[in-house]
Amino acid sequence: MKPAPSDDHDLAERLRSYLSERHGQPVEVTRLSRLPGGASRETWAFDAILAGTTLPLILRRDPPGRPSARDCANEAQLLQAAMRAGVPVPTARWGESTGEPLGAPFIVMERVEGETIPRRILREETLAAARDNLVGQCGTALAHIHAAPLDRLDFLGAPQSPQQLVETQLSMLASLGEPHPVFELALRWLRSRLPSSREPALVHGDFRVGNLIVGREGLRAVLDWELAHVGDPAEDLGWFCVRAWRFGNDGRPAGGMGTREELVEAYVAAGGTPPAPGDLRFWEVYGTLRWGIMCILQASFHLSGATRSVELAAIGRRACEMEWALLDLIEGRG
Amino acid sequence: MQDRPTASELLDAVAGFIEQDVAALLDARLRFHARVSVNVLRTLQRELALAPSQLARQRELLAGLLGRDAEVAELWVELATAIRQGEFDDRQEQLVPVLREVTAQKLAIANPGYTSSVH
Repeated sequence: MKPAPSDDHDLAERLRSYLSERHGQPVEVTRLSRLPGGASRETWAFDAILAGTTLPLILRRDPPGRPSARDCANEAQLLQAAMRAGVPVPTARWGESTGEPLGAPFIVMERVEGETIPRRILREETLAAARDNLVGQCGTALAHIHAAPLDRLDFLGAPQSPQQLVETQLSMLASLGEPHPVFELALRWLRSRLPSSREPALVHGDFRVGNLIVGREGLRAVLDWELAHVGDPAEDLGWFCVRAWRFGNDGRPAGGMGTREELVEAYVAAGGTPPAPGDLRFWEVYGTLRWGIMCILQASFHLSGATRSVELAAIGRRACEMEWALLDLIEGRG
Repeated sequence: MQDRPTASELLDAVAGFIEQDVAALLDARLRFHARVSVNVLRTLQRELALAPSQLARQRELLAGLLGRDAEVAELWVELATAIRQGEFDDRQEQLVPVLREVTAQKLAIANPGYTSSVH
């Protein structure tokens, strides 16, 4: 395997050669630039020019030497499955599970223009009309995700029950070895309120404002399918309402834009099964706990020396926000 | 006793340097990390000011709940373990107010304002 490209020029050259080979004719690669964000996967924007036509594309590549949770070829299959189910997603063009062409596994998809930064989506004047539609559109998109046939998605593995998910969080917290009494309390709370079993569905696993592309008219694409799995679909509804994803608009539980009722109403109107009473709160508590434990985990990547980063270090001190939000939820507020 | 500037005043000097002199020279990605760094320094200033009284109060609260006194770090571990083992399942009305108070203390250092936002 060739080493990872050392600079943008080298990556552009390898992309050009890969795309030309796949197309059977010369392809030009221009305007390659790394986009900010993407802790688990690098994101690059570029244009491919083939037979005089410019195609705006996105490259998402695993950080060389650090494979991400989801195989890139499988992620392309997920995007295709979501598209067939009527979910707005970027069209996946190519995905490779090996590092051979570009130094690390990657996926290339068509570029969807629009806003992805949560605070702008929630506040930008020009997106006011989009915000009026967005909660409803998210409810609809979630209903379509959860109705997607699972038969071509075997790689997602067996359904994960709520109990398994809670036990996974418990062992994660135990392995991190730091005392977090509120997280322990939340785990007890969750264990005594496990939802009864539902028909397993495709769960996006990270459906929140930060993983959407939004245009003036509203939702254009649902991104970041790396954490997709099979399980209780209400998990996605709860995660969308976690306080951390309201970005300061705390009084609007559904993504900082609307009410839980508005979200569920749109979800049901698009064919989703309404969560049983109490289940939405269960999944909000689960999601808040999960993000809190992820904060500790991210700081541990810095502390272990695996990825030195002031950003990761600082996230460790955010765990107490999730503790506060959990106490609100457990006491019936929030 | 050290001479002035105090620890907090030194942190303030570094934060000001990053904010006013360094940040302007950086690209968007590094500017974000500069902002995070300034927030970290402000957190440390709050920690210097608040930690001594907080730790004393935490020891008092946790020892009261556990019925035994020890170093505060030890009490935190003991409380987390006891909750995991279900020992507080029937004492939530005593437990939750204590957890509220110690969590509010952590937030007063990490992110003041978080506890006061409306729901």
